[in-house]
Amino acid sequence: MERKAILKLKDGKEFTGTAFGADAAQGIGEVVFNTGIPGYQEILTDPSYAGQIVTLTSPMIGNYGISSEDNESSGIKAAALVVKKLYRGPVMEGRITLDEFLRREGIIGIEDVDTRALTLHLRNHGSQNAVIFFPEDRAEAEKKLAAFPEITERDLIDGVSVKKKVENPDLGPGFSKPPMNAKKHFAVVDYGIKRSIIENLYKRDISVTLLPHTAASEDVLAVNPDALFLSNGPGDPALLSDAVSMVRALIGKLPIEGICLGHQIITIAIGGRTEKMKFGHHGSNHPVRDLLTGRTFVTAQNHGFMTVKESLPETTNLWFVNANDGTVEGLYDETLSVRSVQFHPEAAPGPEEAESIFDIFMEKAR
Amino acid sequence: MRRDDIHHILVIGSGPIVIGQACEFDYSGNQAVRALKEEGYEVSLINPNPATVMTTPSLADHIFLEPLKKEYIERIFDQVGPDAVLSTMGGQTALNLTMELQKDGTLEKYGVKVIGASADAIEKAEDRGKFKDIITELGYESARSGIAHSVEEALEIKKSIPLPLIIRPSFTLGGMGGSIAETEEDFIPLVEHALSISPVHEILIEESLIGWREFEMEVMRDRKDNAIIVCSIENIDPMGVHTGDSITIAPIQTLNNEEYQRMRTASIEILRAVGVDCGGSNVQFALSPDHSRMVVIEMNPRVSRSSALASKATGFPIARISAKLAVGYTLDEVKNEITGESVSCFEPALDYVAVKVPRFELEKFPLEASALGTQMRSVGEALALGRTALEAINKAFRSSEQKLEGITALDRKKHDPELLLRSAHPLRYLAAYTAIKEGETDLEKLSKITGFDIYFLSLLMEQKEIEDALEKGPLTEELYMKAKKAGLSDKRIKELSGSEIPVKVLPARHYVDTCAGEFEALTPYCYTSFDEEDEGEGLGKDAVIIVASGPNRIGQGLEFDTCCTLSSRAFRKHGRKTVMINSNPETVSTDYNTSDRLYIAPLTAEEVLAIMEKEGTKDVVVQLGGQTPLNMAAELEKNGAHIVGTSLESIDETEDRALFSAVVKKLGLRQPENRTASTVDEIKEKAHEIGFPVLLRPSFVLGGRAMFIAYDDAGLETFIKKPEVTISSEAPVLVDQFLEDAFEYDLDAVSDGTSVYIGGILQHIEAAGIHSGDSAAVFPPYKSKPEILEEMREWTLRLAQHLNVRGLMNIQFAEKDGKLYIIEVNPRASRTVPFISKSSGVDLVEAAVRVWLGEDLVQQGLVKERGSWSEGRCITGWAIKEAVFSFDRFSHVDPALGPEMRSTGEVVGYGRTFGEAYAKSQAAAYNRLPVSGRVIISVNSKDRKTIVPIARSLQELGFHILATKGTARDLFKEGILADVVLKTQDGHPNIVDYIRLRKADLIINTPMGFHSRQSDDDIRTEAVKAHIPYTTTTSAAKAAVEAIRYLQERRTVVRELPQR
Repeated sequence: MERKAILKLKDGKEFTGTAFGADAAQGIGEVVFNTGIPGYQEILTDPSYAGQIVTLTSPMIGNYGISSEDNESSGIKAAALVVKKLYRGPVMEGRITLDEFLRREGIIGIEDVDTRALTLHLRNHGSQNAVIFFPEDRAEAEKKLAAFPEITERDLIDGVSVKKKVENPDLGPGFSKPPMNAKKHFAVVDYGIKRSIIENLYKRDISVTLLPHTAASEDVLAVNPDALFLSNGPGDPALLSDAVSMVRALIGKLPIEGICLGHQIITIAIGGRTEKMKFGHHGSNHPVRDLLTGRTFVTAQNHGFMTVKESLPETTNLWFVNANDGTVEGLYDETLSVRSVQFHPEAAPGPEEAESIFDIFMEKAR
Repeated sequence: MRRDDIHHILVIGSGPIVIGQACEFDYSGNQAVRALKEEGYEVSLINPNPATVMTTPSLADHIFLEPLKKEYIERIFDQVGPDAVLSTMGGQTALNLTMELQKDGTLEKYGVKVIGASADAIEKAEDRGKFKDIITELGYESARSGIAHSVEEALEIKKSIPLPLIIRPSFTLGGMGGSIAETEEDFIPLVEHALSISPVHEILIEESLIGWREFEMEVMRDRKDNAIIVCSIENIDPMGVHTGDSITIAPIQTLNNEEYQRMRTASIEILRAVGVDCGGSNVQFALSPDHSRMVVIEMNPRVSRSSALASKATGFPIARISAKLAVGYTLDEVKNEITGESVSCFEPALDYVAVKVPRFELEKFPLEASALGTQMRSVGEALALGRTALEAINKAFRSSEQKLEGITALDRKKHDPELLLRSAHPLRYLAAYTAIKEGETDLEKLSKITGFDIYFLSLLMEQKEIEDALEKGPLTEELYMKAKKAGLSDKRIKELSGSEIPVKVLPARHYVDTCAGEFEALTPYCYTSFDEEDEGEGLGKDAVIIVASGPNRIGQGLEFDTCCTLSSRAFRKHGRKTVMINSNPETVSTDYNTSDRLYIAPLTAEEVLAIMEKEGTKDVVVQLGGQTPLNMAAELEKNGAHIVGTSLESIDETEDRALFSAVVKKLGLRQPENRTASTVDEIKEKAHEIGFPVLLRPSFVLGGRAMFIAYDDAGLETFIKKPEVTISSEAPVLVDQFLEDAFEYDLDAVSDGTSVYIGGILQHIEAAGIHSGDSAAVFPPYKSKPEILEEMREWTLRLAQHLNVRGLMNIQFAEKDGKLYIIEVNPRASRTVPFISKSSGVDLVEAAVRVWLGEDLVQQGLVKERGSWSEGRCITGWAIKEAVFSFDRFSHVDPALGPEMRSTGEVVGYGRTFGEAYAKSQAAAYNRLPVSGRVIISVNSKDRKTIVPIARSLQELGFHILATKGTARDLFKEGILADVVLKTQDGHPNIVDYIRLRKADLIINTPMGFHSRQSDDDIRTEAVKAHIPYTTTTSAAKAAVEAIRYLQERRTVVRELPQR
C-alpha cells in the first residue's frame, strides 16, 4: 500500500512523497544531497552519513538492488533516504531490493519527492535539519524537529566507531582479506571508517590495528605502528578536542595521515581551522588538482566541513585544491610529517583513479 | 596552454548525409570551428555539403565546398597554407582521409600536423588486430575473434569459434557491410562480400555476443592524462543491434557502482593505451546477462553520433572541448560554459534520464524481421529528457514521429508481436509491451527471449498499470497527474480513458545544468516535466518560438535544421529573443548557443502550446522546419498561437488541390491536368479522363511518399495495392497528368507580400518523374529559353502577391514543349534554401526573418521597386547539387529513382565551367566518373538523335563504345562504331554481365518505357552494387561528358566560397 509521507525542512519548506522502507520509522537529521549516479548502497552504509538524511539527485534509485558485497559498514548509517523514483521491480538473483534493505535496517525512505527542487533549495539556503513523517504524526514531528540539535552540536562518532581495538578486521564478503605478509602496519583510528579504506590498505600489504575514537596517544604508540591513520567519519571536527589532543601529542613521533574527517582533525591539530560549508561536497564528480603534478583527478567526496586555507601554518603545503571552488582538498607538512586528503581516494562509490594516494600513504609511512 | 606552433587549421567535414553519418558532424564541426576561432586561429573548412550550418559564410575564414578527396585537400594546402589539420570532427570520412594523407606523405610534404587524434592513435583504435592486442595487454577481454584477408583464412578462424559469427569489414562507415553468419551456408558469401567492401580487404570474424547487454562510455582525455567520462549510455536493445539503431538510455541504469567503475576505469585505460590524448572517444562494452563477463567491443577515437547524443544528454559540449584540447588546452583549463563557475575536468551529474529512439524509414526501406544487425539502418534519432526513465521513454517514442503516441501495444492486424519478440527489429520493445499488456508476467522468460534487461521490462509493467488504470477509469486528477508524470500525452490519456482532461496543468521547466543542481546554470537549456517546481522565468512577449524539424528522415533533414538555426541567429542579430524547440540531438539547432532558450521536447502541439504559455509569448515560426511544424500549425493557431509570416489560409490554398487549382485559374497560370479521387473506381475514371501516364499520390505528404507513375491500368492497380495508400474522402488520392520528358525547375524566393526576391532558379538534370530531392540540379539553369525563365519570375510574383506570402516560398515548375507548368507551391522553407543562399551569397532565411520583423524587401535593399521582383545570381560560376543515396545499406532495395524521394543527403560542385562543377559534384557524391575505358550506351528511340554528339565526344575522349543493338545501329548510321552488347533479356553476355565483371566504366541508359522497366532496373541495381556510374537521361550524359573532359585535363582546382 502506498503511504503518503512528508519531508519538512527546518526553514519550513515541505515536500510530499510516498514512504518506503521501514513502515513505522521516522527520519530526522541534517538533509544533504549527493550528486553521484550509481552507488546508493555504498552511500547509505557510509558511516560519514550518520545522522544525515541523504537526498540522491540521481532520479532512478534501486535499479540494481542491494548485494551482500557492497556495504561500506555493518549496515545503513544514514538517517533516511530521499529519492525521486524508487525501482520496485525484481532484481538479480542473490540481491535484495532497496525497499527490503531499508525495511530490514529499520530506515525510512521517501520517494516521488521533487528532489531537484529540494537540491536547489539546499544549494540556495544551505543544508539544514529536516524530518520525514507520516501526515498523522505532524505535530509530534514538528516539535521534534524544532528541538533537534544542529549537526555542529551532535556527537555522532560514538555510534559508528569500534568500541575496542581490533586487529586486522574482517571486512566481510566482497572485500579483500588482511595481508598474509604485511609490509607495514598502520594504527587506524576509527571515526566511522569505510571498509574500502581498510581494503585499500590491505591491498598494499598494510596490516591494520583499528582503534576506537577514544584512543589516546599512548594507545597508538602501544601498537607500534609505521603510521597513524585517521579515518573518515560524520559530524563537525571542531567537537573532537580529544582526538585533536591525541594527534598533537603524536606529531613528530609518527607519520600521520588521514582522509576526510581525518584530514580535518589534522588541520586543527597542526593549528588550522575548519568551518561548515553551505551545502558541502557530496558526489562522485569533483575535480581536484594535484599541485605537485598538475594532474586533475575526478574524485568522490562527502564532506560538509572544510579546512580554512588561510588558517594553515606556514610550513604546511597545499597538496590538492578543488578545481571548481578552490577549497583545500589535501595538505602535507614534511616538517610535521603529516599528509591528508579531504576527498575519498577509496571512492566507493565513485571514480577509482585517485587510489594511488594510498601508495603515497604507504610510502610516507615509517 | 594554447599551442603557438600552429596558426592555421583545416577542419575536415563529413560530406553528404548518409546513413551512419548525419547532422551530428555539422554540429561538431560547427562547434569546433567556433572554438578554434575563439582561440584566434585562422580556420579553413572543407565540406561539400551545402546544407550544413558549418559552411555558412561568417564562421570559418576559408570555406571550401569541395570533394573530400586527397587531391582537393592538397590544393587547399597549396592555396591557403594551413599548418594543421583537425581530423576528428568529420566522422569516419575525415579520419580515413587524414590517414590517407598521412600514409602517402602529403602531410609531411606540406608541413601539416595532425591535431585531434594522432595518426598512430587512429591506427591503433581502428585496426582491429592492434586494438585487440591492446585490450589483451591491459588485461581486459575482447570477443574471441580472428582477422582474415581471404576466404581461406576465414575458414581457418571458423574452426576455433562456433557459429553464429559476426563478420565485419575493416575501415567502413557505421559498420557498413557487416553481417551475422548463422549457418555454414551463409558463411562464405558473407565473407566474400565483406572482403570486397573493405578498402583494405580485411575482415574481422568474431564470436557472437548477441543478446548481451551493451554499454558505451563517452570519454575525454587530455595531454596531462586528465580523463573524464562525459556520459555513460546503456543500450536498451541488446547486442546484435547496431548502437545507432538501438533505443538507448543515459546514464547507465542497471550497473552498480563496482560494475560501473570497472567500465569507467577500463575506458580511460584504453584511451591511454591507444594514445588519445587530446580529444574525445567512445568505448563500447558488452556484458553477459549474468554480468560475469565484460567484453570490450570497440572504440572510436573521434567525435561521433554518440558524442553528439552525449553532449545533448548532458549539456557538456564534447566537440567544442575536443577542439580546445586539440590546440593544447587541458580539461582543467577549460571553463564549463553551462555553469560558468566549474571547470570542464569533471563528470556531468544527471538528475534526469535521457532516452534516444532511432527513426527508421520503414516505408521507404522496408525491414524484414530480424533485419537489424551490425549495419546501421536508421536514418535519424530523437532524444527526450524526463525526470524518470518511463517518462523519457514515452516522450522519446513520441518524439521519433513514427506515429507512436508513446509506448503502445502493437496492432495485431499489422504486426506479429510473437515474431517481433524474437527479432532484432525496431518494434521489439513495443512487442514486449504488447506481451505484457496482454497479461505476460514472467519477466524472466521475456528477458531471455528478447535480451531486454528485466529492469526495462519492469518499466513496461509500470506502463501497463497506468494504461490499465486509465482504461478502467474514472480519470481523476490524481490519475491524470500520475499518467503525465509517466510521460503520457493528453491525446493518449484521452484515448485510453475516453474522458476529457480533468484539469489543465502546465509542466515545470527544468534546466540541463551538467551538475544536478550543484551550481547555478547560466545556459538556458531546458526540458519540461510534470508535478515539479518551476525554474526560471519565461522570456516574455519579446521571444519568438521556432519549431524545428525533429528527427532526420528522408525528405526532412539537415537542410531544415540549418534554416531553423539561421533564423534563430537572424532574429537575435536583429534584437529578438528565440526559443528553439526540437527533439533531434544531432543538430546545430539544439546547440545551447543557437537560441536564447532551447527545449528538448517532442514536436507536438501539446508540448509547443505548453512552452508557449510558459515562455509568455504567442509568436511561433512554423515555416522553417519542414512538414512537422506545419502539420501542427492549425492546432497551434486554434489555441492562441500567432503564426509568424504567411497565413495558414494561404498555406491551405497551396496544399488543397481544389483551392490551388482555383488560384492557378484566377492568376492565369498553367498546371498539369489534375483530379482528386476518393474511391478506387474514381482513380481509374480520372486517370482515363486525363490520359496516361498519370502521377498518383496520397494527399499531405512530404518527400513524395508513395508517389507513383502509372502508364496503364496495371500501374493503377499496383498503386492502389500499396500498403501505405489510403483512399477516402478525407484523404483523397491525387491524380495528375504526368509530363514525361519535361524539364523541371526549383525556385526559391522570399516575399513580403508585395515584392519578391528570387534567390535563384535551379534546373534539374534528371527528367521529370524523378523526385526533385533526388535529382541533380544546376544553378543557374543551363539550358532554358530566357522567355521561360521570365515567365517563371512573373508567375512567382503573381503567386506571392495573391497568397500574401510573407517569408520563404519554393515553387516547382516543369517545361514541356515550350510550355511552362506549375507543379507545386510551398510557402515555406525548402530543402534547397541553404544551397541557394550559399551559392548566391544572399541568406534567404535572414531576408525572411527581416520581413517578419517588419522590414520589407525594398528596405532590405533586395528589391528596387515595391511590387516587383529581382533575382540573385550564382556567385561561384556554376553550382551543381547532386543527391547522395544510402542504397548500399539495403541490398534488397531497388535503387531506381522515381517520384518518391530516397536520397539521404546532397553535395555541391562549384566550378567556373559546367564540366568542372559537374565533375566535382560527382566526386563529392562518391560517384567515380571514369577518364577512360568502356561506356555502354542503351537509349530509347526518342534519344537516338541526342545521343549522337555525346557518343562522338566520348569517342574523341578515348572511350571504347558498346551499345545495345538498336542504339548501335543508329550510332553506326552517324559514323560511330560501337560493339554490340545484348540486353538483359536477350541472353549472355549482356549488359548486366559486363557490369558484374567490371567491364564497364560508364553506363548511359535512358528509360525504355514501362515495359522494359524491369531490365532497366536490373541494370541500375547492378551498377550501384558495382559502383559504376550510370545516367538515365541524355542531359545527365552530356553533363558527364563535360565533366570527363574537365577531369582529363587533370588540373584540380579548389575555389573558396566568396564571403561577404
